[in-house]
Amino acid sequence: MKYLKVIGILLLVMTVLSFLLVIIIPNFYMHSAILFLISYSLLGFLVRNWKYPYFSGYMVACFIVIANTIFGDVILDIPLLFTPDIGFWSFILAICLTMLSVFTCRKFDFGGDAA
Amino acid sequence: MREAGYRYNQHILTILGYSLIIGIPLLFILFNLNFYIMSLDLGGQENILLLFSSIFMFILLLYPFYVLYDKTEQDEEVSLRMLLGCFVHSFGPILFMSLLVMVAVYIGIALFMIPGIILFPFLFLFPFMYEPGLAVKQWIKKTIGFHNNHLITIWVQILFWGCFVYLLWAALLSLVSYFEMQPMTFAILRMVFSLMVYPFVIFGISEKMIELKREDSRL
Repeated sequence: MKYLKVIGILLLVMTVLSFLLVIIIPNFYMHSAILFLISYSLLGFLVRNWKYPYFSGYMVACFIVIANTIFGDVILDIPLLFTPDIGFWSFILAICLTMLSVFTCRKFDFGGDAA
Repeated sequence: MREAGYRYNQHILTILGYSLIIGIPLLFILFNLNFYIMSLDLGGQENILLLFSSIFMFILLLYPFYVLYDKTEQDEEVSLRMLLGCFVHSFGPILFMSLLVMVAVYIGIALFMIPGIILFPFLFLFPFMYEPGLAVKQWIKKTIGFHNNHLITIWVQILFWGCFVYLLWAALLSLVSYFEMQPMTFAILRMVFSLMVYPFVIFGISEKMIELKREDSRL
């Protein structure tokens, strides 16, 4: 259940922030980069106290990336899923960012004890 | 129903706040999905998808109102912040479970309707049976047990409240039939209607659900 909860929170944050950030940052590339940074850092922050934080962060990041690309493919008709460089770079970046964020949150002990 | 009306009146400000912060953006996004589905040409199947997305509007708003009713019945304090927390935490599980059930119902409809009709009440049951901290397996088991115990009551509730919403909506549409009906007007009208009527409907169903759950726990 906690995996589904975190995925739901992330989807909500992505949706809400993508609408709000359009007002502040009109540039499309900057907008998506900042959204990417914020959401995957948040993922690392959310999973930092779990039993297997790195593995959970990795799996949830993979799921979110696949869900986003499927959404783009099915609803928006943008062929993201089977484009190797986009898939590759969003996977690598998302996973690295999540790992980095988990590492930082555990290292500096944000918000309670890291078990 | 009288109790539901009383609670609705009691918490009208909280309900309005929740509708403004969560309800309007959520329904706005789902209406855009509706318009997208309307533009598709799937040979009649898009009507089923439209029905699903309309049900989705109800399901995703549901759980915080259920908590609101449950807490006030036990004389506990309820704040808007708590409702927002409830929505954020329950969004993921309810979204994914209802998506799964929707796919199952869709496949069931393709298999000569009857499996789809049998699975249909689970769409409404899963959000009502959600509890934070419950494992997914337990959640499914509990819901199936509840469904099997109270099959007739659940169907009566679904049919009754479905007719209630349908008739009110038809009455409202005939009232505004002089308007120039553009898709946007339709969406805003439907949105206002949903945000006014759905809390009452959810309170009405919650009343019955809590009664049935107590009955189950006594046995």
